[in-house]
Amino acid sequence: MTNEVSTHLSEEDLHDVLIGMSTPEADTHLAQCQVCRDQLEQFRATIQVFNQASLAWSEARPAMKLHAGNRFKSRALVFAPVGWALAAVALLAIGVPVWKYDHRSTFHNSPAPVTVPEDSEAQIAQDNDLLQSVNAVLTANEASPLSEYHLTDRPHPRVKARPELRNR
Amino acid sequence: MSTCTANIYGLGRAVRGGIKSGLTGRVRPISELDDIDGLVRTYRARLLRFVAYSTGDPDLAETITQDALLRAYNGREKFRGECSVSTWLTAIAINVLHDYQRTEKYKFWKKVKSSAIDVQEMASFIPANGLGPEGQLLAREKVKHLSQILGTLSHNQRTIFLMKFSEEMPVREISEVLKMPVNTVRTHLHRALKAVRGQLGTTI
Repeated sequence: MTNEVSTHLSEEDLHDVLIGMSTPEADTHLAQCQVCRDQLEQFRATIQVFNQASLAWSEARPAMKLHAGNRFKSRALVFAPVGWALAAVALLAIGVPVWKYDHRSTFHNSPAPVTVPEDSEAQIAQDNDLLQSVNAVLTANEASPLSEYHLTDRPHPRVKARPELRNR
Repeated sequence: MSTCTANIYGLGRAVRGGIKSGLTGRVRPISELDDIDGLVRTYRARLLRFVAYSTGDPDLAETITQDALLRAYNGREKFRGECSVSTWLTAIAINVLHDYQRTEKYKFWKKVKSSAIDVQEMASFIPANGLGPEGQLLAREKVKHLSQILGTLSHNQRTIFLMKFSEEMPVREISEVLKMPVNTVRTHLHRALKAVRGQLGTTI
């Protein structure tokens, strides 16, 4: 514990002490040499301040949401059936009204079925009589194109060519 | 010698020994991993700090930290409680980082965009700790200076330095996580310490 040591530890010896690989001789020397101890303490004090400051700096940096991914995965497994059930309910809630609306509009837009009654013989005969009477009325009132344009349905008499023209 | 595997998604990294070492020096119950909110609350900040300083890119670090925590949670059955949760998470984060570094997308975005740690902003987070204004100012300068020096180290040196001095992992555990011989880890630490202590100079 005195400063009356003639020689001090070399740089290499001091470094070995700092890294925890000191020799027994170096330990013995340190026990007696205040100068060498001070050198080591100065270095350790600097490292300590550096460690405190750098750790405080590191702690001050915003922490990341590391757990989000894992928890999300585990939650996804837990809530997967619930999610599927909700999806099914939503599908039904949307799908059923849409289907109903679509079905209803199809029903309303389609033409009404036409029932064609079977015509009886009497009905057919009655219809024919009616049509013939209508035809008769129309024919009576309608002017014939022949009479309208003073035409006759008899063939025109042939006009003979004059003999003088034939002999020319 | 026991094994703490960080064998997540076939990445197959293993941590041997150092069961009760690490940040808190005790083995945590496996049930701790079942609560993802608790996992994030307890370890996110430390993991983010480690990845942010290891990569030098806070935005990328956010993504890697998130991915690492998610992998840890999903692969929590593989954690056998033979090392601290913090060590296990660090190993997973390193694997995730290696995965990112292998992708073409990472290479592309490193060329196009890279956000850097705002040293000024980080230094402003120094806790009071009973320091007066002068002490605060001095501490802030130390932190700024050390942050800048860390940025000049190689990726391996910086990562190993942070594992040792911020995550407080023993050298043997670091070598197992990084699949690197103990002597190589020691060499990286020596070089990192030489650079850091040499450049800090009178500020420490």
